[in-house]
Amino acid sequence: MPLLELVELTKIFRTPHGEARAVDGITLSVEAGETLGIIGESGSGKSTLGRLILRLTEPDSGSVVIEGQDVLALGRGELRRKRRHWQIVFQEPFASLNPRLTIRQIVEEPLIVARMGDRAERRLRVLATLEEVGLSADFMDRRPANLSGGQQQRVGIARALVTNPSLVVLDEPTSSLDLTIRASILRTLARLRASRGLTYVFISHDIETVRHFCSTVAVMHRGKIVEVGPTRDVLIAPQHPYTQSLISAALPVVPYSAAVGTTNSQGQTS
Amino acid sequence: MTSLGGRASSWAKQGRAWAYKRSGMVLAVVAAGIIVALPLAAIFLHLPQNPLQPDVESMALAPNSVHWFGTDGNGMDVFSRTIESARLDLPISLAATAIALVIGVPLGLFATTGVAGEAIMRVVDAFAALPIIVIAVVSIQLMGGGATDVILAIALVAAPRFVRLSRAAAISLRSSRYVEAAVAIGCSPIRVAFNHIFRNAYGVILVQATLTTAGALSTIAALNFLGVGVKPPQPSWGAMIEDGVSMLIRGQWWAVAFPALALLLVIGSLNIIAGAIEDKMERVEHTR
Ligand SMILES: Nc1ncnc2c1ncn2[C@@H]1O[C@H](COP(=O)(O)OP(=O)(O)OP(=O)(O)O)[C@@H](O)[C@H]1O
Ligand SMILES: [Mg+2]
Repeated sequence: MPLLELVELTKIFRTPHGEARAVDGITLSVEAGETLGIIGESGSGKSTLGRLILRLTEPDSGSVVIEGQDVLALGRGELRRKRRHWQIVFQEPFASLNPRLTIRQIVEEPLIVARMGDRAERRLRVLATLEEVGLSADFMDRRPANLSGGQQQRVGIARALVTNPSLVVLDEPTSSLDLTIRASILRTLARLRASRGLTYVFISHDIETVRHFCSTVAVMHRGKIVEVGPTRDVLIAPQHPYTQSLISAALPVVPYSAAVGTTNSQGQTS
Repeated sequence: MTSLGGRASSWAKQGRAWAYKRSGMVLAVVAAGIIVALPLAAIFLHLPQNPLQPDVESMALAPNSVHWFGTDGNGMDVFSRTIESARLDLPISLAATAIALVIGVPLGLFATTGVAGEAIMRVVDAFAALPIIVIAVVSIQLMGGGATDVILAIALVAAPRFVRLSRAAAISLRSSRYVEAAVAIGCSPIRVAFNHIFRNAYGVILVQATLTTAGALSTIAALNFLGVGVKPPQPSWGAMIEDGVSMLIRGQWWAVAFPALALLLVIGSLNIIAGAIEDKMERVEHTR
């Protein structure tokens, strides 16, 4: 049974200027432990798809099933209680952190909301998770404004992982970061994937990142999936003209494998 | 490597920042002391003269050794009345503001969507369209007219402004990334409203609270002038100023000057407290 299954998922935004079919009848499935890359140009509907998966946006039609659970059938309260298992990391790390809270408060909140552990246990868990994402205990009492972009994104990752979720949507988690920091964040994400057996939906507009990070890739164009398959096949022998144009338009500045380290054919960094 | 001079100047800078921080805190503590001390003085201190006792023998006397702030047109002691005013003025204004906050902020935070939100805003708009004093007089007449009624009336009048402010904050912050993140980790709407929206909006709400308290002081005076609420001869700063204005033409400034000073002192103190809290929040946000 796939961990995530989308059937004919559709979201249409109706604005005074007309309607935008942001996600237009998408059917997809992701196996447990797999990393599905979603790639497409700006405005193709990638973020909307990510939000729909986690029901942060209500779809117009279609269905979302995660771990056998029909997400759209959940009541408000049930959905809130399930959220600890299905998490998201946003593109803009600073904007996604409440500026008034300390790092400790930010990473602890998912545990409080899910009623996991007492104060002491939560503290330990926050510390352990921060360490897992590469942040020392010194960061506990700092606030987001005093962290670098990379550190802020590590906090975002810690917040998503602290409740030990099974599925994590990564919405362009590195696109606002410098190249070197980007590589190091991706290494962290790959390590966490391996150690925790995580399933990722990795949204990106960067072909090179997807090539090395994802086992499967879906190419999105105007709200539709135009091509989906194992990353190697899709990127080496693209069938759809849109995918072909995406690939030929992408010229890597630095070979990704040089920055991140060696990779194998499953896209698992070592 | 930091040069010795560089380090010294950075110490100097830190010292100045520390002094600034300290002076802000000290000022705020003094201001809070004034706000608390004035009503306590009115309640517990033995005033030099009876503040409610007119005296035809000593009308409109300039400040002297018996009447430190002089006497008003009825021969009542201005010093005693200035202190005595704090007994009702301050608790009424502060309580009214507190109630307005407690009613207005949650309504505003939740009145952002749906039929209920729509209905709340209709009521708020209707209230805002009426002159404040009309609402206050009518509601006090309906309720009876004691100090509690004045408090409730002023709170009722002030609450819509808190509804609007917190609603505006809620609407603008609701689409922010960190509020979306809060929803994504499973926060309840109440938790989102208080831990994420209110926490980032209470600077403006606080400023409004000081303005409301100051406004309440003048509302008390206006009500008094209309013969509702705090009844003469019980003094209030606003009423003392109203009464004293007619004496100004004859150069008898003291009946107005001292209650006006007290009023300024209180409003100034409130502003200092609000400023200190805002400042503290800013610092918390930008340093560690
Ligand atoms: N809340 C909204 N209201 C109206 N239209 C929206 C809304 N959110 C997204 N859209 C529209 O839906 C389409 C897809 O947007 P989306 O953000 O999903 O694209 P994206 O692929 O994530 O783009 P990017 O790479 O720039 O992040 C766009 O045309 C956008 O204008
Ligand atoms: Mg996007």
